[in-house]
Amino acid sequence: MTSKPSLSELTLDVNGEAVHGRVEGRTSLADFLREDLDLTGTHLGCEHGVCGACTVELDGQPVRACITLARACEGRAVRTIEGGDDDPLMAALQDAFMQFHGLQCGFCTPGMLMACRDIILRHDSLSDDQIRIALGGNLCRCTGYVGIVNAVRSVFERRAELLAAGEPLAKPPTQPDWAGQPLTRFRRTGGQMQAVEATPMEEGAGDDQTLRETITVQKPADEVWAFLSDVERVVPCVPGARLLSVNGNELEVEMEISLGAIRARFKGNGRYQFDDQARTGRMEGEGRDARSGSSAAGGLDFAVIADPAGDRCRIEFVASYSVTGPLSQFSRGGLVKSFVGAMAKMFADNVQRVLSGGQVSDKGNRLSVLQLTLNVIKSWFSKLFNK
Amino acid sequence: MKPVKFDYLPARDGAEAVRLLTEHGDEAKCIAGGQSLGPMLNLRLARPAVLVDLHRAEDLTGVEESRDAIVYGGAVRHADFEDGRVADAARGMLPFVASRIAYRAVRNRGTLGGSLSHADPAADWVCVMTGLGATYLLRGKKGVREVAAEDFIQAAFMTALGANEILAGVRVPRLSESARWGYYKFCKKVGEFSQATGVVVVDPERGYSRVLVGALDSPPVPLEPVAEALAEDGPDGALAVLDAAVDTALGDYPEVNRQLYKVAVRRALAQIGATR
Repeated sequence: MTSKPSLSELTLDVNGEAVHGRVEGRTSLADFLREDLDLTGTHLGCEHGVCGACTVELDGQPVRACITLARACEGRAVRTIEGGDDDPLMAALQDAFMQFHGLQCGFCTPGMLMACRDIILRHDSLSDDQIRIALGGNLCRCTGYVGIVNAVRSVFERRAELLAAGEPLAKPPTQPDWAGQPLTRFRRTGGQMQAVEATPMEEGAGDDQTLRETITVQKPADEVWAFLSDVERVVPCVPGARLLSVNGNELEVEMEISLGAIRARFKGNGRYQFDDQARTGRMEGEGRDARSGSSAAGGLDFAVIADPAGDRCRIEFVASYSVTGPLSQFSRGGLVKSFVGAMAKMFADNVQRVLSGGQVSDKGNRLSVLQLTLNVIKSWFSKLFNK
Repeated sequence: MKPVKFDYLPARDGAEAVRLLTEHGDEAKCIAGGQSLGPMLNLRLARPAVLVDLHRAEDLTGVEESRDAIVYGGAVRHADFEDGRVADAARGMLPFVASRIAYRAVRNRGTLGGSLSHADPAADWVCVMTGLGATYLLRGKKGVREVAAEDFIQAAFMTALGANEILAGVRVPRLSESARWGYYKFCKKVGEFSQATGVVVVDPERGYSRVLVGALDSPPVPLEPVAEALAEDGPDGALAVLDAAVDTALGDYPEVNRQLYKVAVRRALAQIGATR
């Protein structure tokens, strides 16, 4: 990982002029325009692609400047709101926004104008509904959109006079109409998929969640207990966990989780206690992810219950988990539950695998609880668009 | 709201991308359009040390047409489908679906491969490509391997992609002339995530029929009895067995959600001629 900023040369065309700069890899197009070029007409609202205030044109197409990296625009043409002065369509839109009260505070207006210009360019017919749908990605908190829609409609009515002939036109894709046409009957030979039963993620309450998992193992209870009470063998069965040291009943453990693009490595201390008589045990620990500054704590209770038949037994696990700090958004709702659920299942799978002479699945190294991220998206990105 | 520092490495082609990913290992992450990863970077939910940019990789932006199928490069953008800059293998389905993904400014950047690799169960391409029976071409160190769409997403946000693999292309079988498709999604607001998605693809000439519910907590789920009935008895026959099939497939979902999924599929079936 680089510790000092490494700057790279950047050349692009902004509003018709060649522009050079030196930027970091992480610099967004919006920050480059605003901070390096002083083109502050491009507004930054949400900075994660939701509000549309930062909309600019890249090679003639509107894009979100806050989630477009400056270096991804190398050699390309950018037009910002400042570059609209000579454009009759943009001038007409600005006049119409004034006339129809299409703005109040003006924060959304630059992005709104860039989007509206594109809408008028691309359509040869436009209903009010279509205008509203096309503006769905630009948020205005002042106007209630009525003035904006009226402004767009008024300019659209003058489209032919404002646009040079031969401007590109796109027909919105539509679906063929099959109504009333009988569909050929046939014997199905393709498209079969294995039927699965989908289960929903439950929304849990509170931050600290518990989850139960029971497995049946075809081994005598004594043998299974001997394994479960051996921390050096059992800790690696916890997905993503690594035992760093053991001192008495104190453990030093590292645990890595991976949720799509999100990674965290929790390092911390744990302890265990076993009751050989009752064949019950508990492992618990807490750790910190240095990169995000988040903390996590978790516990695992387990009990081995002998089957009357003697040659097999049942293991019952109860897992709990909580997260605090920047990553704690994961611990809302069904997140922890699904996380712990996935983890308990994988732990149980690993235990079963090792007991029957196999190896711990290497999937455990990259904890496959990406399912979690679904709820991250649901809670965190609920206002985000669907791509 | 600024990403952590990372090295930005644009890849000239797929092979270079794989080489860069291999070189930088666990700390590297691919970006194409950046419309899903971009917000995660800004919110610092994702903190890669290296970002390998695929969006200008030559072999990922092209389209290869053959008699039976079209292979779309992983970095083909949603707007390329919407505007007809790439050929459509599915008799209007791909442009129709593309034009309803998020917002225009997002469609101008977001890519087919990026959306599929991100593997959100509610994403349009995830549902549509599974419906069409597409095949994904995964490029790694040892070359290209093929994975069926329905096997690619293993769980939400979890795919068959290996650590150093990229989704290089998507092969979509061409629908024949008699084929029909239906696609319906419920969104609370235009451009937002679907709450429930219904996908119907039926192609008599190829003997193909597939009906899916999508936008679940997991990958799209097939409604096999509905697909069977669609082939044998037509759209109305499919409708007749729909409710029971959804109840079986989504038995653990609350009734209100099941109803939403039923209606999504019902409306998709209505698009191909169901009358009831």
